[in-house]
Amino acid sequence: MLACWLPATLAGRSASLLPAKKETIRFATDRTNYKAAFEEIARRYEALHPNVEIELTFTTGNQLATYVRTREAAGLELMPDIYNGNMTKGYDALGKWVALTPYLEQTNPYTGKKFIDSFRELNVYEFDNYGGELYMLPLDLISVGIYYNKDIFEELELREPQSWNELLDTCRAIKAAGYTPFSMPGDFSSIWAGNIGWLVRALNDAYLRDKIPLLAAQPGDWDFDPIAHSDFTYDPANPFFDRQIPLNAERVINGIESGKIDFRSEAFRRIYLRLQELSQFFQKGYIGSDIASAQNAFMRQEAAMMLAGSQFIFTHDQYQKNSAPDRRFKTGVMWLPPIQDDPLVSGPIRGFFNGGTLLSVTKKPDPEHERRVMDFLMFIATPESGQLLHDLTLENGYNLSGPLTIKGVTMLPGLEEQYQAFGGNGVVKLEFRGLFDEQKSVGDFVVHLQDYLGGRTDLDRFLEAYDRSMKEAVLRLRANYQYDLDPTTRDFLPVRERKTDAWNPFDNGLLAIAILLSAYCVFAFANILKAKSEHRPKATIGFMLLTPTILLLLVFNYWPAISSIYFSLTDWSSWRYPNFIGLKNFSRVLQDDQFLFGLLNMLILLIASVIKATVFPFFAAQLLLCVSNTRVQRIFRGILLFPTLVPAIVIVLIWKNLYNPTSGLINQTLVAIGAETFASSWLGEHSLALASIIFMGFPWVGAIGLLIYLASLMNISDDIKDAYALESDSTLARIRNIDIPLVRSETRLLIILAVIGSIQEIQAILLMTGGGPGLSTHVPAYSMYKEAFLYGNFGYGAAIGTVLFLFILCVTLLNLKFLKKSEGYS
Amino acid sequence: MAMITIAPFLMTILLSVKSSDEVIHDFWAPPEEIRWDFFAQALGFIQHSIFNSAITASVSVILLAFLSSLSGYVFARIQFPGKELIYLLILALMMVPGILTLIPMFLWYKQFPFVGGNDWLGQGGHGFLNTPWVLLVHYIAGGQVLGIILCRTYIENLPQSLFDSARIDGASELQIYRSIALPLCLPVIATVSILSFVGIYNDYMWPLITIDAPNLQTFTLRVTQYSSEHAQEHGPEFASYIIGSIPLIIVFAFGMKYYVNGITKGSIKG
Repeated sequence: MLACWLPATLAGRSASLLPAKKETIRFATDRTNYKAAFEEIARRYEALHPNVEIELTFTTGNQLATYVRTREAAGLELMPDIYNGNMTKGYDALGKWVALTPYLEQTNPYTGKKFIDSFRELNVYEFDNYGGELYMLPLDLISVGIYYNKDIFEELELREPQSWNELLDTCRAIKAAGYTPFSMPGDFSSIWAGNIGWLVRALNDAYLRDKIPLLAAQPGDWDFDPIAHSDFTYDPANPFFDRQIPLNAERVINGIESGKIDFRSEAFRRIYLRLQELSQFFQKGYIGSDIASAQNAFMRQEAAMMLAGSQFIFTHDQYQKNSAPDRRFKTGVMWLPPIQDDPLVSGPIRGFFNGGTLLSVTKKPDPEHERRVMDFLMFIATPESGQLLHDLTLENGYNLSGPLTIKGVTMLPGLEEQYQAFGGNGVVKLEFRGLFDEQKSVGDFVVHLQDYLGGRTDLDRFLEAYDRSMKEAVLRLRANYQYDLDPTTRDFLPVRERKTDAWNPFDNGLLAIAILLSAYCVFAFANILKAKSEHRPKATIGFMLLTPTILLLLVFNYWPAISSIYFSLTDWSSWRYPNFIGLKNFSRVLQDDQFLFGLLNMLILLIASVIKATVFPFFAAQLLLCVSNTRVQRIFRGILLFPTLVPAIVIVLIWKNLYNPTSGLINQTLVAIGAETFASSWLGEHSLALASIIFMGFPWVGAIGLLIYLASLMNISDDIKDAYALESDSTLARIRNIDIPLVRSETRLLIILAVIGSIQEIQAILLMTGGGPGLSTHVPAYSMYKEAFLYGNFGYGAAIGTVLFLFILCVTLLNLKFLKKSEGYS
Repeated sequence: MAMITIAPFLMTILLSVKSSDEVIHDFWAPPEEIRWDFFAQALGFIQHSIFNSAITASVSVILLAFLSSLSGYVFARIQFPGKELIYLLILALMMVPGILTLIPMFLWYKQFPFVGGNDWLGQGGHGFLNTPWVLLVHYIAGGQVLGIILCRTYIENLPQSLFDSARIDGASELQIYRSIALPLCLPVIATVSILSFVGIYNDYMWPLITIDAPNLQTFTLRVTQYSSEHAQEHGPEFASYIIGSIPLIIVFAFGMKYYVNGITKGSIKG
């Protein structure tokens, strides 16, 4: 079977490489819902152009950034040509993407009309990307609305609120009737890119709109277009008044530095007071709730209102269609009403009618290739392809993300009208959730806001921390984009080709292999010579038998590890190629608050995981051995090992549902037995979140520990056991005096593995809490992941990783020493 | 306790036959209507990738278990200078956080000299990328580390008398390894194999960044294409987890055979 597989796959590979002239267009997206359609579009394109090959990659949402950044680090060639640009925001300013505006004026060969005419209303919404140029092409639009349960509103005789105060009154009435007024997620992703993020941005825009004339491009600025932008006038009552004019980054930075934008001013105070005012009507423990469970609570009619994107229409319609009649209800869509009694508010609250699937094209040196990629993009924008996107997606049981921007697509009857309910609210322009969506500033904002909403910090301290992190973001942006703070000039980053230096082993693999191999040979010979002459044959055999292992490890594991330590001494990032900067990264690590705070959490998790990895598997193994019937023993052994089969992502999903503050089994059980005072938002409270992460996976019978203990406990010969049985018939005494000492080296091993594993573990944190609320579940390994893959600071991320490595090394050495000593005493 | 342990698996089965509407209505309740069609859907979608993953994992596991037991034996039973330092350096590899090396690792496999069209500087081609080797080499090399540590610990705890008597009989180190160490450490080899198999089978990040060709896609790559927040039904995703765990169940059942009570007892007495 193997014999036929390997040649076959190799042949498959060479077949794809052999016609060397085939041009590859790489397309990576996290929109798996469009998978079938993109595949069909690619197939049709390849049929039209036999010398082109479309390589499609689909990832889950949070992995696309990792995918893109890893490939980017390896050079431009493997970077996807087209991908969801919003995953690596800021690449427009770095010149890493193709400006699409010139292409919009060209003819789309597949329609015979201008490329821009392939789209509906594109110019309205997405022209303000960077410097007035379009870098992210929206394939579909997504919009946000407040969904409300019409049945509940009718029952309580409520109407759509017309002002913010009326909204609060409506919430009060709903709460008094026993419903949750607003179903709201409050986890990491909700604040980063979802519901609470929308609220914050909408309130920002309402309170800060009067600053737009100050911060937008002005005549003479490099990004001011005298034709397109000439008719710009400040008109806060018109939600679309600023749709064409771009915000000028340097003007914004100047505004912050001169104090015209003051994050501790009254306007910002009001924003977060309003948010808190509304948050008292969210469900209990909302910070520990994710987006899906908040939507589900609305569907179960536990909550009367909910913020959601336009794609929710499908989920909702399907539920109404398929559910039992008594579960159905009518919904309406509205938007946040204006704040009327506040002089600081400039106009109505605006919405988010914006691109959903935003495609960017990577700038590569070959202009021919760029034209080819653009040709494919134009092919995607034809009515036929658009129709495929609509039809195949729905046919295959997926939802559209939103209405397609492509012209000439016939939509499902009624869909158009449903989408209409979302329009007309305008587009939020000025917001400071982060600074220009610089990823690190948004990440820091999430931490501070969760602290504030969770009651950890008061408004003053929140604004102080927010102010500090925004000012740090200003410094980072100035350094990364080399702004000279003169808005009239465009500040280009110097574009450098990365040169390979044949004498640098980190560039030259052959040199690296040669160094590694000669080091090993010298080491082996030196030690063989060191051995006493009668032991030399033994040493020679020893080194010889180890050679295959060591060769593989040196070349494929040691070298990457050494390289990453080298990279930790450089300033490698999305903005620049590696430059040696000495220990700068390390001194930064030691001053990084998030890293230092995370250390404490890491220690707690470490101790917990040592206990989990030893005590529980040991007793499970003992229990198994107590079962004398081998068949029963085998069944129990199977059952205990079964959870290893369940992928981590499913385990996380199930535990997230267990922990859910409203619908979770834990809280429901507590309520059912009358202990509702103990019911909590397990993942949403600062004091509980870490404990909940630790508790996950109960009863912690890890496969590795169980298997290791089982193998060695079986090895304790019956003679020893029988001999001990004569002395004492207490099993516990036997375990204490015989079994535990005899499995000591296994225990030591498991402790070392647990230490190593727990320090590196981020998956649970990544998927459960995102390090939150605040920093309460933040660990250094997670800092490393965020810095390297979300923020694009490879060098700095590598420095955090190196510090962690040194830490683990110390703990392990101490561990070995300490345990050896205690063994010596016994 | 056994019930709690197996609960996640039972929940996965439950979710694999339950329609989304019922999940929304009550996550925990048994389904009103059992949707076996999710399984049929999932099977067609993932069967080829299960085959890829199972082959990759099997080949890797066989080779890495062999190398681990051989090196574990050397570390445990042959005394020579420099050995402990090498062992410590191998142990140190476990302490390097995986995410830290992801980018250099990717660069290295892409720029490996003279492979996949590369020149001596590692430029011009794709190296190991998009071939089965990028997975096999990575898993065999990396998987050894844990394997060696486990095997060494286990072999060290075997009675010394077994090895002494063989040496007195004049057996060479390789003979001792083959006729004494290898048969005796079957339980630990089973442990290493099971753990490595599960780890390789479930790995997501490495295949994602190194494999583009659809015919080489692994199970995890394929199954994530099912998981979309926009999917109307999530049942097929869970059904594919269940189907995907069949090779793992086979490996478990097979590996467990070596956990037979008293393997070593017999040999000591005899």
